[in-house]
Amino acid sequence: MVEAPRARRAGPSRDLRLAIGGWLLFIVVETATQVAFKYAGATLDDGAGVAHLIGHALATPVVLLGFGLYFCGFLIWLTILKDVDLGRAFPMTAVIYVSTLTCAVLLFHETLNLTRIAGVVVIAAGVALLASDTRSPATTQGGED
Amino acid sequence: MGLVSWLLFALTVVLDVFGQTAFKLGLDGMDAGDKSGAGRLFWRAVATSPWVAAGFLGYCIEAASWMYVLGHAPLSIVGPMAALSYVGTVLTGRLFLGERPRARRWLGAGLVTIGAGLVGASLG
Repeated sequence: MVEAPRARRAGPSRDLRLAIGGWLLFIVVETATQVAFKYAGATLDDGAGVAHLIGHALATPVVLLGFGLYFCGFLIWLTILKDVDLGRAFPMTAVIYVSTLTCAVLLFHETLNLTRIAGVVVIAAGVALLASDTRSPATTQGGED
Repeated sequence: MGLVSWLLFALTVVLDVFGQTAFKLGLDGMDAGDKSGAGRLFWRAVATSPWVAAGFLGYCIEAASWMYVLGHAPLSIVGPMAALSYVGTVLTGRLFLGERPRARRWLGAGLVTIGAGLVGASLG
């Protein structure tokens, strides 16, 4: 499973391990971001107007934590994206939706009805299809880019 | 979940697609040496790319908008529905990045759209 394909541009297995580590870190950071934002959104009262809301948001630790995590996720994502085709890289973030849904049930006690579960299954199937189209620029370099 | 939440949810998806596409445009436009250069060269190129800056600005607005949405909607609704941005990036990849998605990628995009519709409908 760890065998790297013999692509011309692929690096040694150390690169592969770094890539997998990067993905895992990305998934953890992104899930934590959603959880922090959910907590943040619940603590903010938007009845007082936008200016007040922004001021209040900037003084709330969990909001700042959310933004900090968001920024970290952004940096990790850029390092991933520099090597991978966007249409290929993005669908692989699907795992985040599974981990986020789990957090919704466990941490926020949201209940899932049948339609919602069916919808998530269909989304997951769609994302799996998207992700299985693994053609990247590396294998189609005949064309101009 | 009110109209404002739905509108801001739509804004979130649009800005996400915009950000992803802008990042990729910025990275594609980079000098090959900067791109493969470990560390400093790469991050300097990132920091000076107008596309990356535009995408980042979009991300900031998206974050604020997303926080509002999460404060007013169940995570198990808008979380999975945010997968709609996959559909958007398949489209912008095709339109602006010269990517050639195969049939299965389009089919996947269609399924995500249907699934998102189901999840939205589950709100009742």
